[in-house]
Amino acid sequence: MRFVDYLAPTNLDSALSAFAGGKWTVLAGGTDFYPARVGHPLTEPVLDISGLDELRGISVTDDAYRIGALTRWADIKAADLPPAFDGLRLAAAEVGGIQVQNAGTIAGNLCNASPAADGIPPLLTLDASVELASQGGQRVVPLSAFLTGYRQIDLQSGELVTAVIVPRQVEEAFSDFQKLGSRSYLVISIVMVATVIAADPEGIISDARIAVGACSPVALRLTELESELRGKHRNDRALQHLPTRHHLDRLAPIDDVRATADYRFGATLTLIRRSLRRFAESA
Amino acid sequence: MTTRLDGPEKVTGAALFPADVVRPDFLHAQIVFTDQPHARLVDLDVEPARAVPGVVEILTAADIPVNEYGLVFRDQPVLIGPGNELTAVAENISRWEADQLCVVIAENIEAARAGAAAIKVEWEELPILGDIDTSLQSTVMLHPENGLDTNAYHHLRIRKGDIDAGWSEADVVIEGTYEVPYQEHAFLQPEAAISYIDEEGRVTVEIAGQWTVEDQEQIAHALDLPTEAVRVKYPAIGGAFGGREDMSMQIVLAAAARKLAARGIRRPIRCQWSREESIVGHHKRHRGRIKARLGARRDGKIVAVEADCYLDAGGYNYTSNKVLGNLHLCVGGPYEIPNARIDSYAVYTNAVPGGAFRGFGAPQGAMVAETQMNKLALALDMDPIELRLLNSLRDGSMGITQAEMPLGVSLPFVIDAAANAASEEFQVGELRPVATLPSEESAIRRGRGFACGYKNVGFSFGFPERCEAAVELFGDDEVERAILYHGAAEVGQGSHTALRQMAAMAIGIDYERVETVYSDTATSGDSGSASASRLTWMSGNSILGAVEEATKKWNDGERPARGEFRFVPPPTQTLDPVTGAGQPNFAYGYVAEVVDLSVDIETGHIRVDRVICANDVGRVINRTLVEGQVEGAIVQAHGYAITEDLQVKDARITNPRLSAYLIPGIDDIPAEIRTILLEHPDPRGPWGVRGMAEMPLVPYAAAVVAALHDATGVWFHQLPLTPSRVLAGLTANPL
Ligand SMILES: Cc1cc2nc3c(=O)[nH]c(=O)nc-3n(C[C@H](O)[C@H](O)[C@H](O)COP(=O)(O)OP(=O)(O)OC[C@H]3O[C@@H](n4cnc5c(N)ncnc54)[C@H](O)[C@@H]3O)c2cc1C
Repeated sequence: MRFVDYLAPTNLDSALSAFAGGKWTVLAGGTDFYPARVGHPLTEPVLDISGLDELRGISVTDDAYRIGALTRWADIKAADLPPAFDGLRLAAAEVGGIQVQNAGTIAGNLCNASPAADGIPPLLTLDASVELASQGGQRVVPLSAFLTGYRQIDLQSGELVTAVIVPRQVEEAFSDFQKLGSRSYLVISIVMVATVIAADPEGIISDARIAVGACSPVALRLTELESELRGKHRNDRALQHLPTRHHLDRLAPIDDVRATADYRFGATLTLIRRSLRRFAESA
Repeated sequence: MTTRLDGPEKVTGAALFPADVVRPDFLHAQIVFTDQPHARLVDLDVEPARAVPGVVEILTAADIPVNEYGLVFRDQPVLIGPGNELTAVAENISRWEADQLCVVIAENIEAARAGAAAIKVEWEELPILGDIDTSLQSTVMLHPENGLDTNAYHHLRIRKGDIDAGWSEADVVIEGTYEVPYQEHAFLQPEAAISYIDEEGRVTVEIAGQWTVEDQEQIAHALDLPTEAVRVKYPAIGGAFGGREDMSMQIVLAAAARKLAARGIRRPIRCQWSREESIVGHHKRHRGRIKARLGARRDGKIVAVEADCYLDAGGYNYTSNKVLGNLHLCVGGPYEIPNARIDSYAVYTNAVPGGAFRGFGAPQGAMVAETQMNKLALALDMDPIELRLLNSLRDGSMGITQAEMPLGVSLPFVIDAAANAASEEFQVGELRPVATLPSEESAIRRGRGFACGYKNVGFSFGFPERCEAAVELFGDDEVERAILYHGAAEVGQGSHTALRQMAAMAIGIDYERVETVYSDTATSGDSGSASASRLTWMSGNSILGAVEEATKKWNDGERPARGEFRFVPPPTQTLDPVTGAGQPNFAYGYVAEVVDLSVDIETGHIRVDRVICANDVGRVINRTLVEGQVEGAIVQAHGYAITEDLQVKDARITNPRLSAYLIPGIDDIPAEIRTILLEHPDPRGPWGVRGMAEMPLVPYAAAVVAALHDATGVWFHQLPLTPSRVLAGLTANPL
């Protein structure tokens, strides 16, 4: 018989002190953890944080929403959140299927850092940050900086993600998420587009945020397009024709088993246009 | 309604599938694939594996007495490596990435895997013939032992009538080249088995298969044993669809049990493949290319058909020559065709072998034949239904192989039934979103398509088709109960229930009074395979015969009265090598389908809104089971036509995972399936039964292609119709 160290702390302090003392692999909902280990015996010591109830749930302060690291996609889907979170909630409903949503957590999705992680584009459009804790203290990093590359994150040893922080900026903004895959459920995205667009009472766009996933090593915001949208009227008929291929220049989609790069470029534009149309119709 | 015999066990989880059978003293086996699409074994050193703690034994080619295997002809070594040279096949050449190299047997699976990893092997790489074209152009022969100077090792011809006269009579000619894709069976239960020496000394394999006696014979041949020394038994089987027709681990596990027994170790061995091993390790529906021409007069009468068909057989024949034969019969369509030239080839390559899969060549044939017909209807400006009825085979018609069709040709009836349902009941309904994308109404186009088809029942081309049954009757004056002994495999289709129902019908007692003993070579005879839509048809006839025999003895006063019967259907013929003339089959089933779909022309997603399937089943024995087969076949056809995209690069499967090879989910399948069951008796079927379980898969892809054309004006010649492919096609042919 072979044994591996397995620790299941019930509060954050004991988790962090254990974590500081050794090289542990974190286990949350396990929906990325286990599939990555099929057919291999477990060899590394496991720190199972799924019992840290204090890291689960959504709370609001004067200036931010705080989504606990262990908040599951099913929780997010069902949460009572302002319109700007609609995209995130739509994404929650598209992560795998119901079973996966009942187990998979928001922090697990970010830490796994797949280019096709459905949680990332909507959180980018919410200007989310990641709260990290270690025995030494706490830091907060913008999500865009936390994701450093293809499946790479800025996580120091001994650090746990404890929450995702969303500033209270454009709570009432229009928000959307579209995932395109070759199957309805349990499918890895070919491309997904998240949008958050705020307009003033006259209908002039004051803030536009558009993020595209599965078309680059890390999901990206289309900042150029965003700034071109700013100042336009929501009913401007030219709106849907605004996004063009050059706005996607920073994307680097690949040909893979799911689709060709060409298809991804075309589909990205289609999805952005559809979101813009829905935005126009949302008033 | 009759409760499904295997239902309660499967619903409660009590049913034992091969991987569920647990023995306390199990040894564990890991089968090592060569991982070489084409290479010569230079050196194999298994000693480092023996040194791994827990490793008990390693099986190599030298342990297989007659190191060859093959359902039709034996062109595959059981294990690659230096063997006993009792086969014509070069034993040290790997021709497929999942050729098996050796088997490591250990105290636990971790040790078996560690042993597998420790094996040292040196290969000399040979040119990889990755596809049909490469293989046809290559001077490298994959099976030089067959004496041919081409890898196109099996060639079938049809020369009927006067093809030149046909073309000169044609007012309209339709031409097309079609690419048909692989399909993976994706049965729920990946391969698993246990092997041991039973109490009577027989080497025994418990596995999920389709034909106990065939498994038994293949094992006996390779192990050089009399068949009685081998026992094959089927526990619960988690789907098959043709994917368990060939050997996976039967032979090596039997050999391993014997090798251990020779050392005095009498412990059962278990083996279980992961999903990836399963997808890499068994054959597929054939991919292929078919070039076709169809000529008709202005009045719609077909006057000429030509086709050149190429199927990728992969590294070994499996059942490719038979699948090819069936494609050959189907590629012209179920029509009266006076003049025909068809050449069909099976080509060896180093890709995954093609083999049996629900429909067995007919889906590929129907994709071509029916798309050609739909194009013809358009060119003639004729109703596609009318065009079919005008040309349909009927009783008395000569088939494409110049033999009269077996009686009971009901194609015109199924065509009518589907067409009538479509016009009467199916008005265009509410627009639904395509895929999960809330689609834009402005981007949705809708269309309707029609296709029909036929498929043989039972084994063809001169195969000695047979089916055995035994029945025992108990009681004094009246028959109080009975026992049915039958080899038939219950692969999930419900055969064990239907056979018991037929036994009760034949004897004239209640279903509850019939006991059944199934699927064990120790107790039952040769049922033939659970394939070719044959099992209910053949078994019913065998049961009728056995009951008749038993009844005679009963009337002579024997108690219990046992009757045994071997049913043999009318013989079939191999086709004439030059003209293709001959009677290939003794029975057929007929089907017609209407597909309504929506397509999002900006993303290429297709949603099938409704399917009407009119299937002539001859006689319904169990309606729930029959409807289940229709719906299951359509769902599987939907995957074939639209979502399932097996990718092979340099003769290796690159997406052997169900996360990347997408079988349709509950929200992807047709939103509505309307099943119309016709009961035109097959004159030779028991109670009029026809084979029915493959037929609904056959015309579906062509009906989808037609509906997509109706919606967009674009013809697609390649499957599957993934979003990427559809959008590329629409972009290349702007509306
Ligand atoms: C069938 C199936 C379908 C799926 N479909 C989708 C899909 O459609 N879209 C999608 O985006 N994802 C999908 N996933 C992936 C997965 O469900 C999500 O990424 C999920 O959010 C992961 O969360 P988890 O809690 O299960 O993570 P785990 O598997 O527990 O952990 C994932 C990684 O994050 C690390 N980690 C987890 N929590 C923390 C923390 N608090 N601090 C530091 N490190 C941490 C772990 O060490 C591990 O490396 C699917 C998974 C499965 C099995």
